[in-house]
Amino acid sequence: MVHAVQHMRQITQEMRALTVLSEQELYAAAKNHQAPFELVRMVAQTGKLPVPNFSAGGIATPADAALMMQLGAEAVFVGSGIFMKERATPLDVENDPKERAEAISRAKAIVLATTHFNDAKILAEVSEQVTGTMKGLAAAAIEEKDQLQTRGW
Amino acid sequence: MSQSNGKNTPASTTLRLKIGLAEMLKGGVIMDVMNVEQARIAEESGATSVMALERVPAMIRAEGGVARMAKPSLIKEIIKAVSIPVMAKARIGHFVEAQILQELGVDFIDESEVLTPADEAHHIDKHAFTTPFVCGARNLGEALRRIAEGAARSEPRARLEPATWFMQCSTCARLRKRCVR
Repeated sequence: MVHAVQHMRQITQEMRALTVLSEQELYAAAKNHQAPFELVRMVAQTGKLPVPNFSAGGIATPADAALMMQLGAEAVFVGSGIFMKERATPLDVENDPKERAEAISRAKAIVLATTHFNDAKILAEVSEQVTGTMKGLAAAAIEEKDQLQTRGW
Repeated sequence: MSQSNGKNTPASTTLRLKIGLAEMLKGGVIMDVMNVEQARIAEESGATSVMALERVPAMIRAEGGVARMAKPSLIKEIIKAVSIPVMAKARIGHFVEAQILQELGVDFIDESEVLTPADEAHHIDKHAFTTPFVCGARNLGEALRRIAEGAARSEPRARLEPATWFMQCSTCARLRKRCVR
């Protein structure tokens, strides 16, 4: 999650920085970004990417999704954390109606939070709906990160 | 090295159209799913798209080995089960995996650093495909390079995988060297 925020902030900052440059300065900017001049000029003129800008990485709660949207993401990718219980084992959505309901409530909460990302009242409500799951999600995220850090290929 | 989408594509399929397809996902949530039932739940809950995966990155790492494109049978089942767009991941630079995914009929291909990169220096020539691509980027230059290659959407994301990180960094260093030369 911290990387998703960092990259989103970096990209939006870099785009804003381009918008104040003069036409001549854009050539050096294109060189520095190692990107095609035409695309750099397009960003400088519009202040945004010529394609939709989505966010991914560690988004596990409704609040996470809304944070990325408020930072400028146009949609969010959500990992399979919503289908996990603690210790990174998947919820049994096929056979256990209770676990299925839990997955649905998490998924719906994240969708609502993404749609109403600027409405703190709705965000509070949907965050409340998923109580009891936050711990599992956080644990899953940390575990995943740990595993990834200890792996090295 | 010649690279194509495996069949003759009418040149009329433009980047503009691909971007339009990606625009339709704006404001929505794309959920990772590992089986048909999860995909159905995602659709039912209002997800705008699903990403069909065989294993989540944590599992890939724990089990070790090379992480590749998901099984075609799984991708086909998920495409059949839901009416929302289905995405699937191909390894960086592995344009044949991308050709297969296009043939299977996925709606978006994610050239993903979550999987083991197949090419340390080159990304897929995404203009050669009719299916739009999703790509990760950590900064503006990276995002614009992916767009130049034909990505319909850039996706600033956490690089969870340190080894991929290094590979990406060394790729950048190499690119820089080539520019100087």
